[in-house]
Amino acid sequence: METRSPRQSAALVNADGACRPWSAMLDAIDEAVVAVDRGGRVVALNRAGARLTGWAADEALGAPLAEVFARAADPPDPLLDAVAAALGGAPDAAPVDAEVRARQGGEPHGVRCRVVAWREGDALLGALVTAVSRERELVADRNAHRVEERFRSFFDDAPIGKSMTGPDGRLLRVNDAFGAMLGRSREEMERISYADITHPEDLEQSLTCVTDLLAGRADHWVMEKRYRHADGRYVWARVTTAIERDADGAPLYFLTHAQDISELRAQREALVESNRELEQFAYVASHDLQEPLRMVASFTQLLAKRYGDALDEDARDYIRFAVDGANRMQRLIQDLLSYARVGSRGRELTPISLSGPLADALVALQTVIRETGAMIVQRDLPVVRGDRGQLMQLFQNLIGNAIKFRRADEPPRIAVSTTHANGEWVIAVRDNGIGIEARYFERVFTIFQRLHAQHEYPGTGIGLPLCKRIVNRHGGRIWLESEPGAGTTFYFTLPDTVSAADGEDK
Amino acid sequence: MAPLPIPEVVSILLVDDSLGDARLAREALRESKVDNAMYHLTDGAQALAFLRREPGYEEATRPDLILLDLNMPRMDGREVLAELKRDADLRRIPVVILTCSDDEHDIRLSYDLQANCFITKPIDMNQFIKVVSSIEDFWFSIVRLPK
Repeated sequence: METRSPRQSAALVNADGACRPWSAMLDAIDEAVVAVDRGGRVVALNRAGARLTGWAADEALGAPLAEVFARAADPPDPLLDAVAAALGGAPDAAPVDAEVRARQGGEPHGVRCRVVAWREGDALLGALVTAVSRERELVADRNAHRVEERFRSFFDDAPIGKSMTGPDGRLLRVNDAFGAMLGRSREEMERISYADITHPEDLEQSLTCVTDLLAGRADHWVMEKRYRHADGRYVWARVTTAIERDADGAPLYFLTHAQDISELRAQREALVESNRELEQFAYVASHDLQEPLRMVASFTQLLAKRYGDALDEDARDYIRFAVDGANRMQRLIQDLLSYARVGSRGRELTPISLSGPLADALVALQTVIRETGAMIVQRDLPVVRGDRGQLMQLFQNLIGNAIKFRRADEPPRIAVSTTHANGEWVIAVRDNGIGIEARYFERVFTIFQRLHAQHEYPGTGIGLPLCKRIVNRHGGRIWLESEPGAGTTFYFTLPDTVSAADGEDK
Repeated sequence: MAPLPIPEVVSILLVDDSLGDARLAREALRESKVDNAMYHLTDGAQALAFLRREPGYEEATRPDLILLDLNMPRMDGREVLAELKRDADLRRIPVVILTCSDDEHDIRLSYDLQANCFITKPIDMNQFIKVVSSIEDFWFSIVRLPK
């Protein structure tokens, strides 16, 4: 190829040297270029033209255009007509489509040609023809069309509501799903404004969304709002709105996705209500259960106190069992009450340092700490958003457990430490106690599940479930790592909302 | 400190719908060193009628101390407390709230309504008896009450 190159380039007319850079450029492009003189004979052909026609550039010199651009079909030939027109002095015409058959034969090749008059000063020297394969254009066209079709289908056939809303609030285009959601036809929808179908109480929110998007304060907006159904009721939808702008940044329209969440909301509300009722039930039940139980315990105790001397050993045993049972039941109810209260009686979460509730817990545990010689060390406790009373309860239960399940041969050693990962605080409470088998790691957080008999380690089986509830209410998780004989570490996380709000990175 | 003159017989009004607690309180007071008379009523409406010597209670004694439960049928302790503290005469009788509740909301409300103190009934019987004797000891041996 390289060896033919000088000849081809030399084929450009009046190759006096000055044109060389131009001829090199013409050879470099993919578009076929041919120049003809006023008689319609080829005076120059670039490399792409040679490829298209199968004519070497120097062979083509002087040949009629009609021969070089061998026609695939009978006349009329639009290309030759256009060339004739240009040579006749007509103004430059629109592109014409033609077919070219290569000199060596083969399939005809569709090309799109542009024909312009070739002038130098006032003199008409001939015509210039450029030709580009239509196949490539068609592919580009088809691709563009396919993309558009895919987008159209993505919009029109989506199972969730979609709309395009003009900056004036008119619905420019909606899909069938949006119409179906509101019991309206697309045509009807496209005649109205979004304000006509928005619940009056949600208008302000929608307006804020629109102004924020227009002002560029947000690039999209998510909200839950009510749309008016054709039958007058309101439909709850989760709505995402984004703004589309033209190349200059002027707003074109809002693109909205609306998903019907009426059912989801109804379920959510029912769940909240049922949870509330359950908490209320547990609270009231615990309260009302306490009263008769206190009577049982009190009068059995009174009986023992007043008449104990008159009874034999068996009778005193029976009384002990009765009192013991009643007392245990009371602790259960008390614990159940605390459990129910985590949700129903919790205080608002406010920023506090965790060292406060930990200190409170240690005061509450001081007797048992003294009795067992427990050592408790703490390091770097963070400031979190929390309910001081509940966080104290959390530490009291975790440290109380660590002391309760101590090893017989060693005083309890407990370390409370903190790390920070992924925007959360991770607090670890590590002990050197008897440990827990891995298969019980989940079970200890289930209410009333105990791993030991009452006479080994007394308890109600609510302590850790209560911890879990408290941690969950604070937006965290709780888990443990342990090995029998090697101690246990409880971990819980608390969101680092305090430093996140300050924009600090810790 | 000079010993306070101990009244010959002090009278205590217990308003509580729990007969068991009333009995336990009576047991506790029976062992007291102060001579006392305990009156027991089981709801708020009766208590107000008693204190105001309304028909049926014309001969009622004015108590030196009121032990008031919060949760009772008909008129509960909160309403009784509010009524008492609105009454220019009765408001001088100290009111001890003695209740099963240890609810923060109940505690705050009681003090807002001018209760003189708030005590949660201990679960243990011995504790309960001790608390009742402490109440009596405090209000009749330590505190000076208006004549």
